[in-house]
Amino acid sequence: MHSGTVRAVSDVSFDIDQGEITGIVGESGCGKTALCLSLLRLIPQPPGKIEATGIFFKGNNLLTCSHEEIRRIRGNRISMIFQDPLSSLNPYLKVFNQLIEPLQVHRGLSKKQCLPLAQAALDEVGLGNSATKLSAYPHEFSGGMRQRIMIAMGLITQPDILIADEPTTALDVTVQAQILTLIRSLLRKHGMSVIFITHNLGIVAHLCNRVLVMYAGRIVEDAPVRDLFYHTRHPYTQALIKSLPSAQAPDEKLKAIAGLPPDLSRPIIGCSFADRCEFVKDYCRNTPIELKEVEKRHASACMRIINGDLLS
Amino acid sequence: MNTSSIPVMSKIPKGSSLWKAGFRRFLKNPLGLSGCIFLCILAILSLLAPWIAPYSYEAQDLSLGAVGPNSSHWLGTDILGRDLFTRVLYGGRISLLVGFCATAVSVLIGVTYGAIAGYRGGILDTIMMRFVDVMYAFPFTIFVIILMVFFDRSLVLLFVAIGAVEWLTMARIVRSQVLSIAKQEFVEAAIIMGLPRRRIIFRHIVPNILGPVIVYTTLTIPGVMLLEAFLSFLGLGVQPPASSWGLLIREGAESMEEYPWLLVFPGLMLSLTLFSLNFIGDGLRDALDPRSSLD
Amino acid sequence: MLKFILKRFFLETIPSLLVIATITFFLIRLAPGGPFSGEKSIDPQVLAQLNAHYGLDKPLVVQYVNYLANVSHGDFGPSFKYPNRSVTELIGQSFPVSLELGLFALIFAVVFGVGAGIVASLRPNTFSDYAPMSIAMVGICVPTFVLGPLLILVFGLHLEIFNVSGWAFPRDRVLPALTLGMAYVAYIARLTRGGMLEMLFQDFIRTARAKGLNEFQVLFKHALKGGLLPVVSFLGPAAAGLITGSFVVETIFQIPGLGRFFVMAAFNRDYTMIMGIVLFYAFLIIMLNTLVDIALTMLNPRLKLK
Repeated sequence: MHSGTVRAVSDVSFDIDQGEITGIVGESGCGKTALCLSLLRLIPQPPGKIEATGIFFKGNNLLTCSHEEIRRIRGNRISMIFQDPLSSLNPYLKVFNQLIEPLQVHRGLSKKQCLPLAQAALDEVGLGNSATKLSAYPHEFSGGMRQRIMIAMGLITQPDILIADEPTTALDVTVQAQILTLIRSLLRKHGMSVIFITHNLGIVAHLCNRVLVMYAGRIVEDAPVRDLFYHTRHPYTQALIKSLPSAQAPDEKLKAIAGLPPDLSRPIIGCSFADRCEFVKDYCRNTPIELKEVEKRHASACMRIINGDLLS
Repeated sequence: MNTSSIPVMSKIPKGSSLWKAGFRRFLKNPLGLSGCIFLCILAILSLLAPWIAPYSYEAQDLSLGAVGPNSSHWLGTDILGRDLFTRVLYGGRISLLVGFCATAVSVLIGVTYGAIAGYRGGILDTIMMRFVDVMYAFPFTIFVIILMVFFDRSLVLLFVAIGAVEWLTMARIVRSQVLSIAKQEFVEAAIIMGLPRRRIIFRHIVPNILGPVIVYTTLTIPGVMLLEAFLSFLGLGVQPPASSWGLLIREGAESMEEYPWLLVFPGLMLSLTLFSLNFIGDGLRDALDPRSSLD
Repeated sequence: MLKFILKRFFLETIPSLLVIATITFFLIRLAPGGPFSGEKSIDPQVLAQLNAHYGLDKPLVVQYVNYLANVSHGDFGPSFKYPNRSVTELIGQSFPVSLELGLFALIFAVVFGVGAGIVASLRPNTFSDYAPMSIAMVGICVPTFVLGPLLILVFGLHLEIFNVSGWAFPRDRVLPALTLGMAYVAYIARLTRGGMLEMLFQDFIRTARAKGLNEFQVLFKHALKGGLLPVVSFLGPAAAGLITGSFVVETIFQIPGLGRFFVMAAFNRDYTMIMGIVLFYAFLIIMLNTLVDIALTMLNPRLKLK
């Protein structure tokens, strides 16, 4: 391990449209969580640092606004839910007290006023009989129920954007499906936008309207979901899709992507996927990469594809 | 590039062992470092005491009486005209000696006890730890006082008494470490691989308990030195004509109104030594436990 | 809860006390000399009479059984040194003093220890961490028998703010409580700092910030409860230590507490007094630990009474 600066996220730029579910997909360590924490300035600075032109939300620049202002947005206009609900919920506090915190802090409501809202929130995520549940502690619930509580907590202030950081990764597959269905129906109901982080392409296909693929801290492809799968415009995305096991061909050998992701403490010139890319050419390693639109609403960071050099 | 060939990867960085990484981290800790330096100086001075002490240990100058610090007696003298600097130097030898030896006794007892309990487990473990629990309820300082009052006040008994007090926590720490290590998967893996038990113990378990043992040992020494000073202060520890800082403090406290330096200097030396030991212990703990340095 | 207390009492307290009583009993009797051997030139006949009167001539085991039998009735016997007064009486008179001293010291230690620990945990490994922790360390590096006299020297003799000794006035509590409590400030500060740091790096703190809580709320609503658990655990041994370890302070400041009685009893080989105090202290420690266990289950919802 070297000491030094790790550039977890580089040159990222994207827009979120209202009412859209945007998936951010990539392998562990590609920077997807760091990216989303940066949106809400949840990266401790020091030792970290967020450098950006701006993070624009409803007329505010989240990067430069005051601490008070961003605090008012967190949990209120932009909510975030996390991967492991057991460690993300406070084991020493009752569910009720944690659930209503956003209401207390942002709406100034009293505990009494919050009670019906808390009950409604739990009902909405499928946890009825809320009386006993509200006075219980997180460890008394199953994983799926805990995640529902987290979702309820994230939605209780009716935010404009919900950032969900791998909310189903820690759950059993069957429970995963339930949670995804729940998220989708809640989205439709509330009309909010969602940023959904996952490493699972299957979920992305199932749930998202648009997808950002990240690798080594950069966005390598940005496309509507169908286009991503049917008109892939980046070798990495292609390799990812290819590596999915197929139910149609169960005896096929699994295709892994050879090699390892690069060391992010060193600056990389050129494409960071070059060492593992099937289609690499010399200039891939020398030219600085950028994300460019190659088709309607479809951007790619592959130099060869941008230059029209590669048809895939 | 063929997906089935093994790609050339950038150089795999050389890993640093826990000890090397810990050592480096320790060096970055200003308090721990200064503690170390102080202790080293102290140890050297103590070792060389017979050669560097300006006066003989017993040399009295009754005509001089108790005098404050001056150029010929750097720390002053006591009522019998004995040079305080010399006495502090010699007293330090005894205090440090008792500190390290008694700690060694308690570490030996504690580690053995805890390791057996943790490794064997089962009924033996339960009984052994019950005993520890009961002993915890024993007002130990009282126990030590009883021992010292009632029995011969020899230095050996002092070691035994102090050692007997301090081993409990070490036993608990070692036992819980052994238990948690033994349960971990890499030990299971080693057993499945058919490694002989001796090898498992020495190459896998021991290195992992060394860390907490070392840390706690460095933290026990000051406790032991304090206990010795305390007993000597009560007149139960080191006996005259030998001297330790505890005895010097006792003498100083008796006459502190007129001759405060007799109390202040030995007290200062003891305190600085304890500070150093604690800083070192804290530094080691922060350095060796990767979590706790963040922590 | 009742079940827990009863279980604790019969399965743990009584056996522990029995073991302690036995060890102490035989230990002190095995030592050379007896309660009266210290007296200057006692007529051997008088000595024999005294010993017979107190049953000290009987075989050890018989004495042991008799003692236990008496204790089970609450009779700890008379003090050998002060034959007109019973052990129970003497303990009853001096314990409240030690208790008061211990309580003040505890309050002081908790307030300053927790405060220092919280401040230190906010910015670890920086000056605002090293500074309070080093100051807290004064307590464990400057022994009570150095600190006490020093405080007396400065505040009692030179500045003349406090009395040099005694327990008569409320003001007399200050220096002794400070001296006694200082040692615990360091431990409590350490435990608080460790506990808080453990909490502050947990995921649920990140969740709390993501919900828009300010740092103050994050600290006190979320981190503190879990962070103080190690301190609560420590309060049992701390309280016990404060009450039993006070004899140095009591001696230095001339406070008529139980600790001082104990040291005197030890020097005087006052068997019954020694036994009585040892058993009393042991019982106190066990009881305090039980209280702490109960408190812990109330604070940590994942713990249950066994």
